[in-house]
Amino acid sequence: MFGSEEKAAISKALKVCHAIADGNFEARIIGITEKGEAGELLQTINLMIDRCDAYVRESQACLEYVRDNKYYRRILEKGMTGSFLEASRVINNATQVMADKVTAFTAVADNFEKNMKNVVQTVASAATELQSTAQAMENTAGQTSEQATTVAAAAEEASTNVQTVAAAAEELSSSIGEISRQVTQSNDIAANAAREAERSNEQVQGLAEAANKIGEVVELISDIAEQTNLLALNATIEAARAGDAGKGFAVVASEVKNLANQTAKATEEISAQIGGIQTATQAAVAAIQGITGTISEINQISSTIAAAVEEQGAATQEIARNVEQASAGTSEVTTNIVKVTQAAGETGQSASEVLAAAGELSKQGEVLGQEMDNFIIELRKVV
Amino acid sequence: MPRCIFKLLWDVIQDGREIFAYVVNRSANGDHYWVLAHVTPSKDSQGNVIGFHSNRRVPDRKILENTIIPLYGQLLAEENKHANSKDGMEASMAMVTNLLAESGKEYDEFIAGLI
Repeated sequence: MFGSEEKAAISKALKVCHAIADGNFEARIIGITEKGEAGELLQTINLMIDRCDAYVRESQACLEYVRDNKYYRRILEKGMTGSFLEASRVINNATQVMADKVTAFTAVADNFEKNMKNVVQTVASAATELQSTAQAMENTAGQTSEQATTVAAAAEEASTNVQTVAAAAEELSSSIGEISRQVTQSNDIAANAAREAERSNEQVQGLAEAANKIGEVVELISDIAEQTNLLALNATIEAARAGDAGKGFAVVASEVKNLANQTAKATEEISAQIGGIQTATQAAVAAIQGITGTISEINQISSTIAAAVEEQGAATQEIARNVEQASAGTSEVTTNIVKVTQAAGETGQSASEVLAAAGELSKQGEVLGQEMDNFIIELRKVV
Repeated sequence: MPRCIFKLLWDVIQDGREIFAYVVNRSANGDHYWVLAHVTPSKDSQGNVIGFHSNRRVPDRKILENTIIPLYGQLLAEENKHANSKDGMEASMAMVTNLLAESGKEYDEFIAGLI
């Protein structure tokens, strides 16, 4: 059985052991005066509490640091023994594994953040670029449309001008036809005039011949008048020889002589008149020749006019052909401009759509950036 | 022993946190010896500090000679420059703060690397 000292020791030990069993590691056996095994028991109980206490404090401290994302606080293995040492090593090892994972995950998070920021940045700048390109495209389409309208108006005006030229060419053409008809008529008239002049010439020639013949007859009458005069002179002489008997005869002879003289005078006058006729007919011939020359000149001029008119007709046809080509050209321009206007409209429409899409992309990029920032903030709370 | 180390120790444990610190003890026969003190506040179930617990460990000689003894020497020299002991302690505490700021670590992380 135990002595009273041992009983007192056991009592002290029990009290502390109950406290320890309740988890109160602050409890210690104090004022140990016992000697021998009783004293050793009490000292050993205190040592046991110290080791348990140390382990509890150490592991608690270590895990509090881990809770706060700090991994450098490890359990001091020095002084730990047996299962305490083993458990401490397990906790330290687990802490190290967590630290390594956190370090690795932090690197992953850093990399992710960097890459995602680049992506967000790229999306934002691409959206901005896209926006400005679409804007420029829209402006260009608008300008193209405006210019196409201007070209269309110009083509319309050109078309009107071409039609005016065509009408003018048509008028010119009919005017040339009229000139041509007039020239032909003028040629006919000139030819008629030439024929008339020829006939007049022939008639004048006939007149000249008739005058010549009259001259011959007048010469014959003049000869007869001279011989009649001579005969009258002979009769006078014979009457004188016949004396009184011849007196009546002498009067007749004198009368004959007078008549012969009068005849001679009349023929002289006729000769003079015929000379006048001959001079007049020669003048008429010369005049007719002048007329013929003039008609010939008129013919030449008409030919020249006809050739010029021919050339003008060809030129007018050339103009008409060119006008037709110009007309085809302007209508082609009109057709193409309609297509250009359509294309510009479609381009503008597309540009608007691209612009809207770029705006949406920009917004989505902002949302992405915001979400990324939020995610990174949450992520940083974890590591 | 630099006075600033004791101040640091008390500041930390009174804040309810544990601390590791190298400390010179003097034995009854006048010899001095180094210990690595691990002081932890004891708390009740509500988390109130109800006392302190010091666990002493035998320090590593190499760490003492290479780091702690030269460091404490510097701190002590700084404290001795000042006639007023309070000024001296403030100056050496500033040195500690600067050194920690340069290393980019809090005291607990710094000392965890020296255990």
